[in-house]
Amino acid sequence: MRYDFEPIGKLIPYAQVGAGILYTDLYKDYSQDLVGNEIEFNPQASLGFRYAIHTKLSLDVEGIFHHVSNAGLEDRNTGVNGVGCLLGVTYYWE
Amino acid sequence: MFKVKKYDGFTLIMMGSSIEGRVPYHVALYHVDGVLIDTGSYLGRWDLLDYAAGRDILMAVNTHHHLDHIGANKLLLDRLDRVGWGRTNLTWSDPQPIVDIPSKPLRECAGISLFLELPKACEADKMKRISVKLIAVLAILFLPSLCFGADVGVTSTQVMAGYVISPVVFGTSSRPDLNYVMTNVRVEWMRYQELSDAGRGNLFQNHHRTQRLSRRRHLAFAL
Repeated sequence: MRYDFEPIGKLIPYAQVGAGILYTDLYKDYSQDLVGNEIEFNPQASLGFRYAIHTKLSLDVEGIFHHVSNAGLEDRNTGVNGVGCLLGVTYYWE
Repeated sequence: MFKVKKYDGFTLIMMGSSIEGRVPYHVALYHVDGVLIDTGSYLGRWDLLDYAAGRDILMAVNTHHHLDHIGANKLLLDRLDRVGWGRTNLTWSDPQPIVDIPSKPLRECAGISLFLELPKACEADKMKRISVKLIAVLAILFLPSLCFGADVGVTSTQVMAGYVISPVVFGTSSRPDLNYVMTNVRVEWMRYQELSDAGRGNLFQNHHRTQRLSRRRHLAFAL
């Protein structure tokens, strides 16, 4: 879920939170106890902005924090916390 | 050899072939409350058909598939149906366990098994707790959309890629060597409130109109 702040010229900042599930094969590595299941939950939050380069196209930059764990489905569930930077484009279909 | 003995509540049928006047082996069939248990050997099929004539046989059940237990299956099916003895309904089915083995309460797992297949983790209490958590998360995510009362919508597709690091500063769970590439493809539905006066427009037109009109709220939901 994303909230768009007021645009600053062609720049539109936003904040978003979300949650989902992901598949990983890291659980097969028994030398680690971070991820113990093939299906993990993935809550995340991010801050970013979009820069309009066309009425239907924007360039996006986003900083993201996300957590990966399996809610106790498996004993190995230390979890992963990661921060990252994403670059992207958005097309608006109207 | 075809012998019938009546007992209290059931009938025993002994079927066997004689060799030089002796019957070295016979198979036992039972007729209980309209149910015929086994149909005997192939050689004794006509005797069994005669026995079945006029009797109330609703179903035949085979204890197993050896030849001396299923010999008259086809004949009974064909003849009883053809001569129209009405309620005859001979069936052949897979053997069922006599002992009722209690199964895991899969119903309790329905909340998560809709999108996960985790038989080894299918423990009712655990799944129930997770289901409640999932419902709570979904409610938190989507209830605002019901309350928002949006007027104008925009759909967009976002493709993103980046690098994620897992620094130690976030606690013991992180490892410095656990860095990875993340890619996202998002389909997004944006809803703008109180923009009906401004009319439909794309994202930036709407933003500019919004900016001219007054402060407005914008929310977007992405998959």
